[in-house]
Amino acid sequence: MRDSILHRVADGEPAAIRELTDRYGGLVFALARRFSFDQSEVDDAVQEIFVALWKSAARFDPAIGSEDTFVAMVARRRLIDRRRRISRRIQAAPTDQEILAASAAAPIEADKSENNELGAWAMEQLHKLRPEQQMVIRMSILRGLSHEQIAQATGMPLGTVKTHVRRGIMALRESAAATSTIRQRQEE
Amino acid sequence: MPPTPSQPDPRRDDSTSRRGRAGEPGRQDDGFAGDLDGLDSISRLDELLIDRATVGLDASEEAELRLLLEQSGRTVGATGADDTYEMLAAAMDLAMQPPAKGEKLPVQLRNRILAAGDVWLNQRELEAQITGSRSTRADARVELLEQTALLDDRTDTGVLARIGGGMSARRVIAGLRQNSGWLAAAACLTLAVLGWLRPTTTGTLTGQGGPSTMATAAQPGNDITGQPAADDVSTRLARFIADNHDDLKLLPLAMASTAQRAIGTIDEPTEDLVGPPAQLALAATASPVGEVIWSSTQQSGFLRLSGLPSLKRPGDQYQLWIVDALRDPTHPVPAGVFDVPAGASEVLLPVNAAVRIDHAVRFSITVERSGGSVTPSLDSLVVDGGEAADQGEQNAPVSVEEPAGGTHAPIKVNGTTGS
Repeated sequence: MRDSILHRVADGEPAAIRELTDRYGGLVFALARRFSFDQSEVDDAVQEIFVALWKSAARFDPAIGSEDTFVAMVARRRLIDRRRRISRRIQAAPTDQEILAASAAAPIEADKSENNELGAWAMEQLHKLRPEQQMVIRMSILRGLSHEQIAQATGMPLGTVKTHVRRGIMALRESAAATSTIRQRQEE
Repeated sequence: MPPTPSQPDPRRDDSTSRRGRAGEPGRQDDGFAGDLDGLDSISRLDELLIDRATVGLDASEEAELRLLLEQSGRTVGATGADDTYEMLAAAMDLAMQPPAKGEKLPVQLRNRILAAGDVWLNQRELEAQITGSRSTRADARVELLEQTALLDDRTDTGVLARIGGGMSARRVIAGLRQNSGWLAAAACLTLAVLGWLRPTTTGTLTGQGGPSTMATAAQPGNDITGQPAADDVSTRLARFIADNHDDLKLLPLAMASTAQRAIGTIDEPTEDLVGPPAQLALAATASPVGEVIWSSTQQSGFLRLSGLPSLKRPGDQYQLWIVDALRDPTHPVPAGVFDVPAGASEVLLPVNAAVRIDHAVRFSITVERSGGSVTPSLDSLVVDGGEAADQGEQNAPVSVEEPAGGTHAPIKVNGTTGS
């Protein structure tokens, strides 16, 4: 299928640049705001993400994941890198509100949209984990908080935080690989 | 299988996993539910891939990951890296916090992205046309820059990304096409970018006129520090390019309405702007030629200038100004004063702006009294700045600036597919 917006961007179609901006601008903007220390960095982050999207658009494979997921993956990689690169070495502590949001006892309603089958599946699996495991994984994924920040915020030992995040995500992937299209990706 | 709860063991810190390597068993607790239970080890490779998908990696971890990926042969498609964890994290991110329906980019930011997209498409066009035209010397420069930049496998190679830097490629093309052999000229621009690593006279810009002092103003009043500092500045430049290679743009020297008068009388105090735009200078060897290589993230850069004579009147200094597309063009940001020692053919100076510059598009130089001034002495600065630049491509030969609003075409130095 070569008619996705990303593939048309990869083909150098000017109208596709505009479509991509309008279709995913809100998503990218929301991610950038969530990951940025300093709101003045958000605009630069968004632009950096779109440049990365144009360049990597040809890699998008609709058989593996939705366009939304691909865009979010590229955006997250850039934002995580930016956090490290331009954090000015500030170890910003998560706010109480962030901790509360990430550790909310009530299960987060997974997005049931067809565009994120993998995400909906992963959330179902996540809910099977113990609450503290769910909490650190949410904190890690939603804000890219460092293991140290999570340990500080939750009072958990650093090693435990790392274990929860790494083993939790690995377990999800292993399970996904046994049942979903991720396996195709691994076997390429 | 039912969940197998277990208490976190505080004694199990990260040292165990940090010592681990690919294939080495890790911890076996945590009691994942159902079909997650079969997991019994985490390799160092998986740890790094998961960390990359969540908290990011530092340089040494990136290097370790690359090595482990090579050893494992665990590559995915053309990317050379396993991104399945990143995809999973992205899908979970979207599921946990889907963006609000109808959320849009702010109009100004949207326009900025579209302008940058225009530049990118033109760069692709230019790239397609010059592929294969790079000279042996250019290849050598590329290789040197790639080595210096420590090969970031997340960035794309693009000859085009190196050409033009932060300039509008369309305008570069339009300007160059007015001359014959624009491909050769484009190659010259490539070399101009890549030539940033060549040795030269180095010095220090002394800041003034702004709310913050410049980091490089260690020797106030002693601007060109000469040989003892040469290696230091060159080393800093190399490190700067390596550390910021995906966030660099080249700022052209702005055209002053009275540039030729200024150039012709520069040895006399004229308090005037000097310098034609870069590509005009290619044909006018007697004119100052220079660029600022600038990192918006770092809010710093380096100025390289040649053909600028030393000032003869005591108490005069050159002052560097950087034009921010989002500021009043009559108020460029002062970026320090400097001297050019007699006989110096070229100077290389670290640059820091007095205030934050969000959309640096070009720079100018004036002659000021010692210490510089807060605003440029020449009222006609606006003529060289945004107004002329915004008149469209008919001005291409003297307008290599970016479109208003700024673009951010990064200088990429390496080759695999990017994020």
